[in-house]
Amino acid sequence: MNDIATYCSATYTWAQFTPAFILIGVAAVLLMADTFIKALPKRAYAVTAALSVLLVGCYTVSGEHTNAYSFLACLATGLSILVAYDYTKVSCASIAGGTSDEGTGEFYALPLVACAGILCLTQAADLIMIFVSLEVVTLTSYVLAGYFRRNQGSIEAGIKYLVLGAMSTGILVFGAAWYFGMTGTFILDSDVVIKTLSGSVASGTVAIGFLMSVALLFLGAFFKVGAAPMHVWIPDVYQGAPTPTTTFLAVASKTAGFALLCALVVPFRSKLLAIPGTHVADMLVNVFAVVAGATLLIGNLGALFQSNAKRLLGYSSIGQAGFILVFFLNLNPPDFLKISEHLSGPVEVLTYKYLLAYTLATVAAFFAIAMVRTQRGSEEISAFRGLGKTNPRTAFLIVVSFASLAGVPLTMGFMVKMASFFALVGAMQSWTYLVWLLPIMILTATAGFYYYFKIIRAMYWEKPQSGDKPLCVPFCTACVMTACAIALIVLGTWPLLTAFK
Amino acid sequence: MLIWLILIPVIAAALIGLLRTPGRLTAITAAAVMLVLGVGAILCSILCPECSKACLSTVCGTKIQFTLGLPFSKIMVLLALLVTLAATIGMKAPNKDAERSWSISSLLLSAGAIGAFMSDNIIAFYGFHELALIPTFIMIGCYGRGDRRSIAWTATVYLGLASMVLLAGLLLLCTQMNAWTFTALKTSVASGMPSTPCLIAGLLIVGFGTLVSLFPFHTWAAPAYASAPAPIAMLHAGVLKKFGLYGLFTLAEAFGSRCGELFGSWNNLLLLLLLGNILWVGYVTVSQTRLDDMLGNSSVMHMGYIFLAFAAVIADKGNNILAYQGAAVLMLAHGLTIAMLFLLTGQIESQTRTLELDSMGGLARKLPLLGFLFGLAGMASIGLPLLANFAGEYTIFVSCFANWKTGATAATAGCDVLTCCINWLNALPWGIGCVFTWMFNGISSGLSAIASVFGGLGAVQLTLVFALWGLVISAIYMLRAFRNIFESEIGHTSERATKLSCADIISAGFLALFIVLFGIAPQLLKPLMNLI
Repeated sequence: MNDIATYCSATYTWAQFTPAFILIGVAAVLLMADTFIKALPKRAYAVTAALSVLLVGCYTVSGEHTNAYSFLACLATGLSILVAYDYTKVSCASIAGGTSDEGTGEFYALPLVACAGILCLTQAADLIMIFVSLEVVTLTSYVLAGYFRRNQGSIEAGIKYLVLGAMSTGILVFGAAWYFGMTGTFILDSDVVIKTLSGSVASGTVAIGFLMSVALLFLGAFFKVGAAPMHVWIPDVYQGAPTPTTTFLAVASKTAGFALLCALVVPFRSKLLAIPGTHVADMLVNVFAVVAGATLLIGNLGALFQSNAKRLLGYSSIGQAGFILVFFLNLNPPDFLKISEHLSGPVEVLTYKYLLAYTLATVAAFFAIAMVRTQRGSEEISAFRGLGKTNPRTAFLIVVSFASLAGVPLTMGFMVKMASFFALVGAMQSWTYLVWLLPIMILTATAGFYYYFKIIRAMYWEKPQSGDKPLCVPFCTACVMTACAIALIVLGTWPLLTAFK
Repeated sequence: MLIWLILIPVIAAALIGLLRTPGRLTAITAAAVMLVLGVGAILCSILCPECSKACLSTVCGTKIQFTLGLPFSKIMVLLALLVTLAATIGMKAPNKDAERSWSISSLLLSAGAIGAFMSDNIIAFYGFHELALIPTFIMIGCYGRGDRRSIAWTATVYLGLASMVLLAGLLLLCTQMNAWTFTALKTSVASGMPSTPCLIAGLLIVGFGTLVSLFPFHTWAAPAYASAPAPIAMLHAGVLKKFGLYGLFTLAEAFGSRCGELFGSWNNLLLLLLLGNILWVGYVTVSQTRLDDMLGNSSVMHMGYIFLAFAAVIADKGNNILAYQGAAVLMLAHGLTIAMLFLLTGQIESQTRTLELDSMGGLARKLPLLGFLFGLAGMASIGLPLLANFAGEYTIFVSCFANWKTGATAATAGCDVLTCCINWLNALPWGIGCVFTWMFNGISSGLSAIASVFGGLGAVQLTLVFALWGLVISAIYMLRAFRNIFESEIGHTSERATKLSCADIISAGFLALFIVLFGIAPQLLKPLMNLI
């Protein structure tokens, strides 16, 4: 019995999961309180939940099992709960109707459970743990996406996410089953992979079944990150889901997806496998190049014609995922790429940096959307009209976040987008034909300028309409947006001024 | 210390935007402080290059990669400082809100331009320029003349795409040379050249070229300048646009005598394109009926001469010091002149409320000083001796013949790029290649025939012969514009003119002063260039 257990799955210690347990505990307490202490104002739950998840985030950085993705997941979850904190007016109207806050408590507690799932995922070393923790994230997200039961869009989003998500889970499980069948274990490890492929690498043929399992696992991960061809759910779900949930899906869930993808590719990073010229390495690079190219095109070109800000950010999240996928072309970065620590590194570090820049900018953008929705009743880009006149300071903060998403220099978005270009240049050293990706990246990055600037245009070029009052910026929104803007600028400027040879 | 040249405008912009301090006043103060600091820094680095290195580029013990040691840094920073001050003094915003936005944008543009010209780090150099594009975009879209939104979008798409091409080129260059600063590039040239010089140079020329409005990538520029509010047009056309040329020259200088290996294969094509700027855009300029359109096009046209200097540098394998000097002087002079012209355009518009050349007339009788200042700037733009542009243009013309002997470098006409294209096209199926080959061969033999008629002139010299015609074209449109606006009968629009304000006179006079100063004594600029 014991043998089978060790054979099938990796060994873990309890300490690895302490942060996750804390979050589950807090969530349980909040859910109980929601049921039994009716008098407590629901916004208190939001504060408790956000604080606890942010504190756990600090713990994951300082603790023994430091993991950058855990920190990012906690940060993203905490901030998306804060979005919900400033969104109560809409939440109440869409959940219980009117101004009653009944039934909104779970809305603040459930993200904690999802975040616990992500924390487990970042520790996972075998497919069982990956699957279980991923399901924790996904199931909670289904509930959150459809949580506004009086809102048709939210219900539609919930159903779509459920159906498509279930399909992708099925694919992932199928992949896991094939993996077990081909390797005899669930452990993700380069030794396992090398053993399975031994002999076949040199002869140029690879066990088809193994490749199929890897392909299916990748497809499951592509669903979470929103990469083509598994991206179709994103625009509809992002647009329909409650804005705090959209925030969670856009940042925390994407972090989970990339943590998963990194876990899946790490076994292939062995020097034996990822060297250029071998069959497996070529195949991996080709797959990632094609997926990245398609994702870039679909996300960025699709975003060009959007008029709804949330849908725009949905396509943008696909497009940004495309830029991150380019990092995966360099599983073994060539030496010359190591000259600048800000532009190169192992794939998981680069991915983390990109996700951090993306998270900071996207969260700020969603805070703005939530604020505009609460006070102007619309999520269209045109609802941002005239903010440059009525709220110059807020408008500036929004400019910073969208400029960073577009990759305007001196913001962090530029640094990471450049790292993505840089990764391609690096990959071209070994696979010259990848040059076809360069025009696609140039084109899509330029397209980004066009559609992200649509918001900036609405704020500065459009005049406020006669009934438009200045937005009243809630305290929490103001704090988070300012912090995000400062972080984006500082992290984008300082390396440029100091760090290059 | 140098970092303050960027922090001051940014802080001033923040004060105006966040604390609602009076826009123009804050901007003028910031610009004046910057000018004093900047001139101080420039003098300091001329007088004591070694000791200034430490104090100029260190902040709290951390070394910041700013420098005034690059060949054109000082001169371009000086240009940016002068134009910023003039633009802020001469600002005529329609209302308080607009004045705030204009001030903020001017300051940010200025910060971006100065940052780019001081950066030793190639990526920061690129980044600061991009930063300056945002205020340009917003200002044209908000306060521009005419069909401002589509103009702003066109400019943004052109510049955005060009920036991406440029970034690709710079990244390839930096990775292949294993150097991320201009200084490091210079040292690493000794140990080797990039492995794909032709591709890199192509990307750089298209990228930088679009930003400088090199023919045929120039169509965004004239409408954008014509549409932009005066301070933005001044700063963009006068200062920021020089970024592309600055980049090309700085890279050429870093590659020293090997710059021919990098850019050489594109030189003949570049010569054709710059003739497009001078002649094609020149004639387009002649046909303009509005003053702002005319100036926008004229600015595009004059870029051709600076590109000519670049081509001369490349053709002479980097030894052409005269061409560097001519280009530096002309960049400064053109920046001052076009800024002054756009400034005066704003003043003319506020007096007459029109910029249609046909509906104006006799303005000099109402406002003789305005006529004099416009005349001065116009003459400078044509290249009248004793005004700054002449010094630059003349030096460039002479430099085209530097190190040239009769017949020694006769145009072999078919350039490397053409040969390259022919080989490439021959590989194409369906016989298309043959057609192109035939066309290119035709062009090549045509050019050789022309070259032989001119007694063995080289490609650069031949181009110069055609480019000189541009002087006549400039004279035609500028003198005609002057006559239409200031001479002849007093038009009904000129009747509206009242008087110039003190700020109008000071701002234009300030620029005029330097145009004359550098025209009479261009040698003052020599210490500002760090050339061997």
